[in-house]
Amino acid sequence: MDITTLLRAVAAFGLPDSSVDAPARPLTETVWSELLAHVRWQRLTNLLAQAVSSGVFPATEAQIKEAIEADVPVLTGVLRLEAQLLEVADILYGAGVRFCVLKGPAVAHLDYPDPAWRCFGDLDLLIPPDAFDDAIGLLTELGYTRRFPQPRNGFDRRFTKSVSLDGPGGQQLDLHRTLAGGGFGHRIIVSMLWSAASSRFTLGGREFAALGANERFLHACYHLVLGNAPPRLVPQRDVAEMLHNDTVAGDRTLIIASAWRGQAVVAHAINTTVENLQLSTGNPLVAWAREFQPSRREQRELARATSPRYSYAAQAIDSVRAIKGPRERLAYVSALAFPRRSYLRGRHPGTAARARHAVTGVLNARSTLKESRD
Amino acid sequence: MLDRFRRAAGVVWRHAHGSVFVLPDVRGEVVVLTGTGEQLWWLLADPMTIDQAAHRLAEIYGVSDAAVSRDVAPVVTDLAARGVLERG
Repeated sequence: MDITTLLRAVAAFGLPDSSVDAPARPLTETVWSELLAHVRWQRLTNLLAQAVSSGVFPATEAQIKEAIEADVPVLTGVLRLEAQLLEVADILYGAGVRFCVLKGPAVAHLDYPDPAWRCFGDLDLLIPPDAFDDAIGLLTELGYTRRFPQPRNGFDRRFTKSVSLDGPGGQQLDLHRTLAGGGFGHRIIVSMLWSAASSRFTLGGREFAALGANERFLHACYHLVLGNAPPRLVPQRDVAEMLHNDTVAGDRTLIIASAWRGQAVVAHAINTTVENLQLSTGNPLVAWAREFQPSRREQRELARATSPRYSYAAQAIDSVRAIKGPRERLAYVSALAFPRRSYLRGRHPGTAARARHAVTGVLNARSTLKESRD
Repeated sequence: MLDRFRRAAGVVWRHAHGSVFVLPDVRGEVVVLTGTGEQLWWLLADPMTIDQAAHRLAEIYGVSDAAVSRDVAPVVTDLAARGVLERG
């Protein structure tokens, strides 16, 4: 079995609808070491440890010990992030800023049979656009620093996908205005997210809001397709878990996806997951995704957005096309074309570096757009 | 012995690898509960006294209450001091 198949066997561990086979016998030390390195990178140490401990994935005693030892620091990291979430909640709720927990903690507690089966490496919170600046200000007082300044005042709450903050202990916190970047992200109707923040989960004795099941599923699909190229296995496992649960209502999910003009993303996410994790679920969304025919425009945009070469400039071009209204478009373009000095200094220190970035950005954007047309 | 103990409200935890991992405070250390400590964690989802917890553990392990009680009291006291358990 090659590494890709072994990784898929780890990612599919415990999924009742998957037919990915585990190896018949323990791996050789060379293959095991290679697998463990990939498992660490993919953040699947928890599933590997569970798979080898349960005997589903054959392993030697030494390999079982190694898998558990690899997972314990990840597990304690997850607990630290959840404790951080409690601390952040004190600050934001204390100041009357509402938020909605995205991805890791929400999915672990709401969509997996056991939260220990889903690990994560940062926190993601959805913040209402009109509270974005306040939230950043409050967290800055707590010792958080933003990685990059915004190009212009008001850019965050109008256009940004998310702002990354580094915590005083080195932990990462992403504040999201919306769920994805680029054209697909700008077509998400942000107000719909807030009317859909209907799920609740409890952590450390406190109740947190999360997106409703259908919107969580859509977010998992967007993250799978637009987050990394090639797509990573944790979001595929998320999609598989949600397809297996009865909580995702196909009709409602497709109505929202249609409103966001994101059916191509959702179909691509489902098809990728079904193929890679060999799912045989009876969820009607699987049949829908198999039959879905994206338009030529959707095919081109999807090809661009899933390319490893999808540059910041090409993403900005897709965003401009998706932003509604000439005034909004103009505001977006002028903020990126003529940003504040501090924005450029943060991203590209030095005049030469800034000039190089501008030229490379234009060339990359042209080349990506040309590829997608060809 | 009449004080009732339970899991502390503000902790985060996971059950994995045959242990319970508890983090009482964002700046604190993770406490790993195994054996009797793990059993206590499951029992103290509902508040109970040390004697009640010892009695339940004695039933689980098939030994006398007195034998378990001597061991349980210091464990509960220690876990309460570390913020894993609380009175209530």
